[in-house]
Amino acid sequence: MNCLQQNSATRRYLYRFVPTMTAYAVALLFAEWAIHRFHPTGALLYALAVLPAIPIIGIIVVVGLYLAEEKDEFQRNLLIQSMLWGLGAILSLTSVWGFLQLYAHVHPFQPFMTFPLFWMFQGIATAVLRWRYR
Amino acid sequence: MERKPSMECKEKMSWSQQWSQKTPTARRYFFRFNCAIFFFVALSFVLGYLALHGFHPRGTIACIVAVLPAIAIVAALVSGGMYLSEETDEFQRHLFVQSILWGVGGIMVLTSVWGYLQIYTHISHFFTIWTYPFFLLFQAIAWGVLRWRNR
Repeated sequence: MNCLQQNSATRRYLYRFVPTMTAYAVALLFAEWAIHRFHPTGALLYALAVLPAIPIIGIIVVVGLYLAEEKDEFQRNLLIQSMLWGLGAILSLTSVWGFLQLYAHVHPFQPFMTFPLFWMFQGIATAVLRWRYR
Repeated sequence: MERKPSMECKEKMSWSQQWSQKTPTARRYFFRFNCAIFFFVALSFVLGYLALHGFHPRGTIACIVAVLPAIAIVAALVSGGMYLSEETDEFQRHLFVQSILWGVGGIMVLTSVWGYLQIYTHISHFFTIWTYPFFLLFQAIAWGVLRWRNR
């Protein structure tokens, strides 16, 4: 069985997802480079700091479009389930870390890590679910 | 065309009545969810109060104490998963999934923006404990807007 069922909705999802994820990486690298190179201040600094977050909104829209377009209920359900597991994992992690920060004085969690970690957990959940339903 | 009783009922129903209308599955979900959230809030308050009053456990006990509120979060999320598998009304399920997506989007944008601002502009640190309450807030707003749009 293929890792991804290549129907038209999945293809459109990938065509949208890959460029948006690339835009995220580019925006992240650009913001990092521009801030270190030009040392901006004020509104420009805030704008550069916010820049990598814009493609994140795009990714959420891409996922929403896929869920609306996907006709295969099983595939749609699989994505929803994996996102729920990813969400559960990231919210549990941040809560445990937050309380560990409070009690055990562990190193503060970097909030920008929430997004990549969510997708990592979602990816693991997708793989496990696909393996279960193989 | 002769008016059917079900149509009359729908016409007479105000938006607030439609708002409070819940399927049996939704009622079960809200019961489970409220129990989990009550446990989370109560535990967070107790642990926060104890932390402010000199309770600083170390090692394994600190880890156990930190994991306890997360169990409540997992329970709340499991109740969401159970609702999605039990709900037979596809429209309600769709609304719920959409609100989760908006919640995820909201929390991802907030943590990313705050995270980068924290690195580059030295604003105050985002306290990670607030991730889940913020997610719930975004999800609740999205759910309200979606229900209002589809009233």
